[in-house]
Amino acid sequence: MATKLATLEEIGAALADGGFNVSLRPFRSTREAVIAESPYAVVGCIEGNDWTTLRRDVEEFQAELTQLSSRPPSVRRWDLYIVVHVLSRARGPVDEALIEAIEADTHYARKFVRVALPKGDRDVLERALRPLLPLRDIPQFDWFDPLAALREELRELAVPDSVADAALTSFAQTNDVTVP
Amino acid sequence: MPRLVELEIEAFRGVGKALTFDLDAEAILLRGDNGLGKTTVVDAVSWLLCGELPQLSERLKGLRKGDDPIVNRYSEGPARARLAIREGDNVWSFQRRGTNASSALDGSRNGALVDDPAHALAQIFGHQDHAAFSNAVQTWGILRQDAVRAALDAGAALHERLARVIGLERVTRFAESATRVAKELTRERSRVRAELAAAQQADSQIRETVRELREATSELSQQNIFATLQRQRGELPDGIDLDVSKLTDAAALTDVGREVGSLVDAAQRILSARVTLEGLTEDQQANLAQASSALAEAQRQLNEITQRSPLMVQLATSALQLLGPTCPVCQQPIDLNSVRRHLDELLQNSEEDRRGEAQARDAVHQAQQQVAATEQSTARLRAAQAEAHDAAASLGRLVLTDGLLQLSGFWLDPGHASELMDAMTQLRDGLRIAFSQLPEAAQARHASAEVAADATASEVVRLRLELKDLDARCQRAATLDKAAHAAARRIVDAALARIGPSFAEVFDRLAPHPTFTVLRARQDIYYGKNQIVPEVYDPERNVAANPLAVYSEGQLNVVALSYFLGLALNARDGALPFMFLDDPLQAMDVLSVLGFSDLCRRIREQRQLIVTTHDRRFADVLLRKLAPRDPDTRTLVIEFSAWTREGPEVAESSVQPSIIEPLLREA
Repeated sequence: MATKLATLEEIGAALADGGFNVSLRPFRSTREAVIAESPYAVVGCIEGNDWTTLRRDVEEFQAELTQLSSRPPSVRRWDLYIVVHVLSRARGPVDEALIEAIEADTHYARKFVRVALPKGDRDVLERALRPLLPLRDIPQFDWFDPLAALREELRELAVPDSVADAALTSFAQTNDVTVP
Repeated sequence: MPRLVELEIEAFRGVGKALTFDLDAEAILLRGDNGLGKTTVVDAVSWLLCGELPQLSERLKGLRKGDDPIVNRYSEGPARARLAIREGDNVWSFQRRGTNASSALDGSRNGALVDDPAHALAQIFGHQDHAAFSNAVQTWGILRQDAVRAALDAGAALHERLARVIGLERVTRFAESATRVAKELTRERSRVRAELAAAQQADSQIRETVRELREATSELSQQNIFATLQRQRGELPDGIDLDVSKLTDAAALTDVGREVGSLVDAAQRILSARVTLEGLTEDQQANLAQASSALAEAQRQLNEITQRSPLMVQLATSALQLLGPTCPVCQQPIDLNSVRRHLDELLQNSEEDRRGEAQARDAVHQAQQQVAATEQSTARLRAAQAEAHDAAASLGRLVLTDGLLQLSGFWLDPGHASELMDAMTQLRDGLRIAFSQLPEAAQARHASAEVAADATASEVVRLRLELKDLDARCQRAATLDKAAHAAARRIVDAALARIGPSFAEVFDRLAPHPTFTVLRARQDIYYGKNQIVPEVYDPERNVAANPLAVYSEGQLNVVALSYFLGLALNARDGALPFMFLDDPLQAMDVLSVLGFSDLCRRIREQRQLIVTTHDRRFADVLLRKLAPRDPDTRTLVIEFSAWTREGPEVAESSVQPSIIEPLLREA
């Protein structure tokens, strides 16, 4: 059974959550595209159905996006990004090389080729779009008390309290473990 | 949020003449070729905030103390750095002066000096003490490229860095220490085992020696002893017998000798008591009564004399004074000569009474002494009777029916104590003769061997106890060692799971490799040591690899930067309001440069960002990326164009805001 894939709407929603103003609009070279805009970037997202026409599709979309963003004041012409969501997996090294070639071409727009993003998996989608999104609020890791953590773990590992206490106490005082 | 607003440097490393830098911006880019002084600015901030530059001190190890890496060679010195910090309505100013070896910090708030500038500095940035603040600055606030890259250079470097950063150093040290103590205890147990084996062997040998000596002593003396004892036995009176068959060695002779000695003592006591009894009169009670009666009679006579004599003398003396031709009472004529003669006789008799009184007193004293002597005799008699009874009782206790020496009931009668003492004294002398017939050297060797055997036996017991204790400790240590490593593994795994997303946050933006697209840190237990190793992963093919093995130099720099920035952005203690990135890009490709530039823009949203770079391409891209989009945001560029003996030539400029026109209507 074929895996259901993420839609342009989902991609647009993820970008919208990342602070972009998002619009789904038709383009002449494809059926539709997502345009996402922030003060610093203009992102265009399209779907790619055919590996053989992928390069041409991207170039045509890039041309239209460049034209759109070149309206004065055009400070964001340095900050154009194209996300291509290819709906079928690469068939082999040729397709993989094609991905690299498309992404390596940074003229006019920075390009990201993403392949077969699954539908409904927000983590995967955000990872695919991470270069475009703000820094996440990752739960900060606390400085923890290593000896307290050790005591807890040793208890779970069935080390007698008397042994653990003596070892941890001496280690805390001298940096050396002693065994009673 | 506090912001660094101005930095002044003088006589510090590459800066001679005082230079002031405007830092009052969200982003500051220091650009210029290598060697023009960009890193000096970063070092000056680090020195001012922390009071030291560990990387320079490390570089100077082994050099002469005069080679100060901080004081500028073309200046008088001392080095000086001043930093202004704006915090709300307050403007703080901190200045450090000194050398690498010694420097002093002073500080002021709105122009007023503060008492403890180091503490105040730490507090501004949310730290309670300056040491913790200094650690945070050097770990999170200022990222030097050499330190970043070094994290991947050595096998355990990443582990050490991460372990220190997230507090796992103590965990792994604990596990290593547990292993060490387990090994030490095992070694100690082996040593004690060897000692015990040696002691057991020595004990076995000494016991064999004792046995041999005992047999030799026994063989040597048995014939002599037997003959002597048989003679003694033959001379024993009826009712006393000695089992000579068991008296074959010194120990047995000593035992029976002790028993005989006790009998002699008991008999002697009986005899002494009897002598005492014989010296005392049997009718002590009658003697006592007679002496008491004599004492009473003497006392009575003494009393009579002492009462009579003073009265007669007094009357006769008064009458002589009143004596005349007539009676002073009835006036009848009296015979004066006759009366005078009578009174003189009375006075003469009184003189005799005085002499009688002295004699009576002597008699009383003698009678008292007689009574006391009689009482003492009575007491001695009673004591002697008790002693005789006790000695007789002890004699009965001493004679054991199942011992080597056997006595009939006849000999338990105290009346035969004298004969018993004679017989036992004779027997004791015979035993002494028999004992003396044991070879003296054999006795000494035997005694010495016995002492040695006791000592080795004690040592064996001691070592067995020690080994038992060590066995238990080794078992506990092995349990602890195993559990400590398992605990360390679990704690490290949990920590890696927590910090993994931090690495991805940076790495996914730079995406340096087409297939190994996931960066993580993996725990590797190598020879019992917990290591954290870098790992990249191809999710399509489920293949993992160490980036050191599959990545290019530029890609490795991305990995190192990902670890560092990821941690710096998410460590709570590292939440400083500024971040210095000193020449972060090394050998990166265009895509990574673009990705890193975008990342810088995102970092700038969270904290004040100061980036130095010698890479013109990166500098250009970064300037475009960091160009403000509104008038309230500032981006500064400090251009380092040349360096002279006075210091770098710099030019500051502000990037003008680029106002944008939205393409899309706001939703």
